[in-house]
Amino acid sequence: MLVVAETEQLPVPQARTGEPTAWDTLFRRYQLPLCVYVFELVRDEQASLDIVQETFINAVRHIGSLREEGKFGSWLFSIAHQKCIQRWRKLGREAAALEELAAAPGEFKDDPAELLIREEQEAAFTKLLSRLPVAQRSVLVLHFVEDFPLEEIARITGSVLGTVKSRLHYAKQALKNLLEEEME
Amino acid sequence: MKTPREVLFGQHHAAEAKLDAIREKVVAGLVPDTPVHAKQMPPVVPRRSSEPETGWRQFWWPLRWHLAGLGAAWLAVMALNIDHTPAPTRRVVRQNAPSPRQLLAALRENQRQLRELIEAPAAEPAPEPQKPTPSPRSQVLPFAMTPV
Repeated sequence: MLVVAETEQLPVPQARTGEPTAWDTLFRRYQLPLCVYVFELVRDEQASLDIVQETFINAVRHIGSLREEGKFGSWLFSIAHQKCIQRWRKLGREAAALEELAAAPGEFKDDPAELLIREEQEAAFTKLLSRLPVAQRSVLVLHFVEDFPLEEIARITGSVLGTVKSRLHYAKQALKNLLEEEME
Repeated sequence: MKTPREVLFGQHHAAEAKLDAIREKVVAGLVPDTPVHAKQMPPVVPRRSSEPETGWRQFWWPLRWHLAGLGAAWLAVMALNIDHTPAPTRRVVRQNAPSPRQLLAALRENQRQLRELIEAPAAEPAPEPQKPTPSPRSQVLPFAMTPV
């Protein structure tokens, strides 16, 4: 079972007072999931490292705007998401990146571990993940790396709950199909 | 068998050293026991009349690069003027400068001309034109008696 941010005891109150050790703990906890998420959106290693750094700096600067301390994780991811959108805008890819699938929400199982990947499938999995539309990839990675509730994913990506449900459903379905095809 | 999370994290383990460096860099920028938001955005202190030096510094500080640039431009202009302009002028002046003998001769010639101008009217005064004095009417002769 994954450890989710909301059940952890994170030193967010101490971080609010500017305690460096508290920030170090928080950043250490989220640096890799953030890097994974940002990389899956921008597909550029150096750019993803830059965005992670900008996210940390912005978090320190705007910690006062965090209302619920238990939502620190999703708040941090929402900053990173905004940074990715800014990068798309800068590169003129906003239209393509923000092109969404307008499908009806489908039924899906809320368990990131339901999709298990064999060792020989790992390369295919990452390749197929990169082939998904960015909107689907975004919700799928948030679901995989942090197991955020759908409401949190909706807040991070700035979407409505129904849209997030449908994206996640179709993304997982597409990934499963692609993996099955790859194995045949 | 791995979960997608494990697969994704596994791909980015190489970046962990860089992420550590980023984290340390950001955390190093924090000062302990100081509210972060207060440190990042210091409160604007109104300028007081008792702090003219600080106010003056605040006024000039944002313009320091502009002023430095202007200063450099002026220095360049001055350097160009010093290097090129005066040298030919001096050379021309030096080339055209008369010798002391020539100067003395010119001075003497000048004095002579002045003397001529001053002394010439005194030596030969021009005769004053005589006013015609009208003769009395009795001395006026008729046309016929005018002596030839």
